[in-house]
Amino acid sequence: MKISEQDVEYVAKLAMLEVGDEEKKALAEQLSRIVEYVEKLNQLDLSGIEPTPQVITSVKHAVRDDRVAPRTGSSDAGRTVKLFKVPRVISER
Amino acid sequence: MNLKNITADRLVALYRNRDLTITEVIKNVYDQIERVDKDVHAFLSICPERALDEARRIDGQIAAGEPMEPLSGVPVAIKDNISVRDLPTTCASRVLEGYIPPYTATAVERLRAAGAIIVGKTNCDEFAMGSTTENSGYYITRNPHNLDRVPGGSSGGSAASVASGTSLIAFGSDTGGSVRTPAAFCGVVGLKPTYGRVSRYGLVAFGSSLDQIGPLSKSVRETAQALQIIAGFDHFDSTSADTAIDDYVKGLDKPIKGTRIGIPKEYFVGGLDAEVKAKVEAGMRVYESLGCELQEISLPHTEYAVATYYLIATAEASSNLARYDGVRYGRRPG
Repeated sequence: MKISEQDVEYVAKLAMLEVGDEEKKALAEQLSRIVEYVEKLNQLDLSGIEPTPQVITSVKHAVRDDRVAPRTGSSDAGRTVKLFKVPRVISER
Repeated sequence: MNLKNITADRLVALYRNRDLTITEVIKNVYDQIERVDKDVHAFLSICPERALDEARRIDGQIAAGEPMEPLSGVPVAIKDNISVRDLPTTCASRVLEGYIPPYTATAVERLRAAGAIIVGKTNCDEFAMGSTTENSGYYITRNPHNLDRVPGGSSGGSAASVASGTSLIAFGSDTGGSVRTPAAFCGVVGLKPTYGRVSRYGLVAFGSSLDQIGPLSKSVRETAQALQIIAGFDHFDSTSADTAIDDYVKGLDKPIKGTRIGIPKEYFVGGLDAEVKAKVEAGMRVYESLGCELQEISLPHTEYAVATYYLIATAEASSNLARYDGVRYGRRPG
C-alpha cells in the first residue's frame, strides 16, 4: 500500500502538525516503506490459527471478588483521605 | 569506595559487619552523581534528602541489632516511567512535567520493602519509545564508557547509572528491547522477565501486552536477587501471573553441565555485525567449555517478528497515550 502526500496532509491535519511540502514528500516515502515492510505479514497463511487475545494461559478469571477489603499499597485513595483533591477544570466566566 | 567495583550482596555484608554505614555509602553515591552525571546525564531527578533519611533510619536499625533485609541500604535507581510516590514521574516527557504520582508501583514497593534505597529517577526515551535515549524530552544520556556513544534505550539512564557507579540495581522497562539493549550497550546485565512475572502496576503503559519491568545490574546474581523480590502475583495487575516462583538465587549454584542450549539459526543472518557475532560465538564457546550442549534450532517466524511488533506496539501505544490529550490529564496552564 502506498501512502500518498494527500494521506500525509490528512494525518498531519488531524494531529495539528505543520508539514512543509518537502517534508510531505519525504514522509510519504518513509511511511510507504513502513507499511510495505509490515505487509510482509500477508505472506503468512493464517487460516485455522486462533487469535491470541491473552498470552498468560494460567490465568483463571482475572476479576476479583467484589468484596470490601482494606487497601494495601502506598496510595492514600480510600484509606486516609477518602477523596483526591484535583484542580478545577471547569470555571465560571 | 567505588560502587563500580562492588555488588549488592557484598555491600550488604559490609553493612552487616559494621565495616561501612549506609549513610556514608549514600553520600558517596551523590558525590559520584555530582562527579559523573554532568556528563552522563543518567538521572532526570534525584532525591538526596529522602535517601539520606532512609539511610539513617536503616543504619539505626542495624545498630540496634534488628534483622537486615536482602537489599538493606543498596542504592537503586528507577526509570522515570515507573511511579514512585512523591517523586516526579515524567516518562522523560514535557507532557508530564510536574506530575507527582500519589502511589508507588508494586515492583518498587517490593524493592523498598527489601531495604533498597531509591537515589533518583532515570532518563529514558520519551514514554519509553526509542532505543538510544536520545529521544528524551529533557536531554540525552551518554554512554559512560565513551561519552561520544549512546547508552542504548529506552532504559538508557538506568543502564548508564549502573555502569557509572551511581546505583547498584536499576529498574528499566522492556516492551521491545528497552532493558536488554541498553544493558548490552553499557556492559551490564539486563533482564526482561516473562510477561506476567512482574506486576506492571505503577508502570506507565506503552504496549500493555508487551511491557515488563526488568532489573539492570552488574551481575547475574544481583539480577536474580532483584527478580526474586519483584516477581509474583499482584492483585493490582490482573495480567500478573498467579503461578509459583522458582528460587532464582539458589538456581545460580546449580551446575549447568549437560544443559542443552538452542542456537536459533535465524539469528545469525545478514545485518549481524561481525564483532557482535564473534562475541556471541565466544560466549557459546564458554558454555561449551562448561559442559553445555549447543544445538542449532530453527525459529522460522523470526523474520516476521519485527513487523508484528510494530503493529502491536504502535496500536497499543496509540490507545494508551490517548489519555494525555491535555484535557483529561497532564499539565493545566494557569
